[in-house]
Amino acid sequence: MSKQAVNSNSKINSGPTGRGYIGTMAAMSSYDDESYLDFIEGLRMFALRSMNPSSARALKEEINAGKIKSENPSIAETRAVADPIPVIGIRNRMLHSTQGLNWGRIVDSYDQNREALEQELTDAEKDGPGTLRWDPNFEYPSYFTAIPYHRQPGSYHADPLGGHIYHYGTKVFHGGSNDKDESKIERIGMLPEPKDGVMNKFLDIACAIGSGTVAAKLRWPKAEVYGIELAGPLVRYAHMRATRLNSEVHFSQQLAEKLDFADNTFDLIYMSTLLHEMPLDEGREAVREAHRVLRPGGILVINDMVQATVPLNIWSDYDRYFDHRFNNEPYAYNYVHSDLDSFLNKQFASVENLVQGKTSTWTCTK
Amino acid sequence: MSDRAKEPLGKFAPENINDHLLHVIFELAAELWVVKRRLAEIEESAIQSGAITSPDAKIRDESFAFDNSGRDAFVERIFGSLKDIGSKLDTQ
Repeated sequence: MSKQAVNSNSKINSGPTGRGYIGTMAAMSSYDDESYLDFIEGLRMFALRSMNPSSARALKEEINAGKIKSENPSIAETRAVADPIPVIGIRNRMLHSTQGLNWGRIVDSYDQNREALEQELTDAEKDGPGTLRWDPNFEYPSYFTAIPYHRQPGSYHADPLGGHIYHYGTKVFHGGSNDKDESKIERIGMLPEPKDGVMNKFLDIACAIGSGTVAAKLRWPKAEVYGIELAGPLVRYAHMRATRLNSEVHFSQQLAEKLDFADNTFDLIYMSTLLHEMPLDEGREAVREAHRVLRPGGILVINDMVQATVPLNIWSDYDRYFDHRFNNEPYAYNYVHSDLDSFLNKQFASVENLVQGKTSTWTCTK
Repeated sequence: MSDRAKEPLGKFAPENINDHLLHVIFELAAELWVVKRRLAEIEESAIQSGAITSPDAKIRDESFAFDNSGRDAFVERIFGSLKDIGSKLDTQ
């Protein structure tokens, strides 16, 4: 008997897993799965809040003791010192284990209601108020299919439930801080508008599950809001989710480096955490495409990892390389060493870079 | 500072203890499975008798929020000592 049948008399929407919704995502299929992932989330937060600072301090002690002499050591030099440090080894194990346990349990749990979860995607395709364009035979670039990003089983494109899995996975990844889109709403709320005040068309490039896209429609209800995403399961999920939230957003499956919009179309374009997931050449092409579809005076906002500093922040460099090595982010390390600022300054009339912790926000005006 | 934090961790067990610890983990996992099976059996009986509602039957609404503070304190209690290991293991 399905759990939906058990709860059929409830006035609360029991959703495709029969256990309702946590924020905007379907709850896990069982109480045990939910508890398990709650613990994993807590352990990950402990790794980030406690093990990370301890690890950075331990590496600093070794640097101060003369174990690393250069201000700009190669990653091999840094690893030779950092990898054997006990607290860093435990941190690395903790991050790697929590990531694997996270994905594994989410997939196992949603698998129990796979049919219902896939059906809701199909049912929503023709629903509105927004629209969806996607191609089940879409040809993905080889750089994208080469690895399952962030170790998500099936990556973003090969499992029809990729969007569901990604959404719950990022809940754990972000410690529940975006369950109700609150952090995306805050981030979109900080975006600048073009100086002439014209704000008719917004584009979210690599919109994933569309939480930023929906947040944009909340902020600019009279504007036309578009979201493009490469992965079919993610863009289908984005549309299904936006439909459930009654948000009029237009989603389509497109390559960021080959958009099908006309020149000079958008007033504001948002590109969040995309460039570090692409090879450098394709990433540069994606920026050129954003520039092409942006109208004169329009703004492109890029949110992504900070670029490497001189002298190097050695702990940050080691941390970034850990994700490169172990979290299936093969392009991220090259990206942070790519001097994105110089490239952007050649493309746009003006560029401002605001650094906050591990994140940079580039505001680029055409 | 709690007694747990004062515990001289890393002082006594040599690094080659890992193999033995793995065996202990296997044994603990087996005992955890024993407890899970028994709890499931008790829960099923209690549901059938009408004494309780299964936690699985509780439907979340969108405003549901987890108790992160209780969870984080639990994690800290168990794993907190790991963050103090630092750059060297003192086994002397």
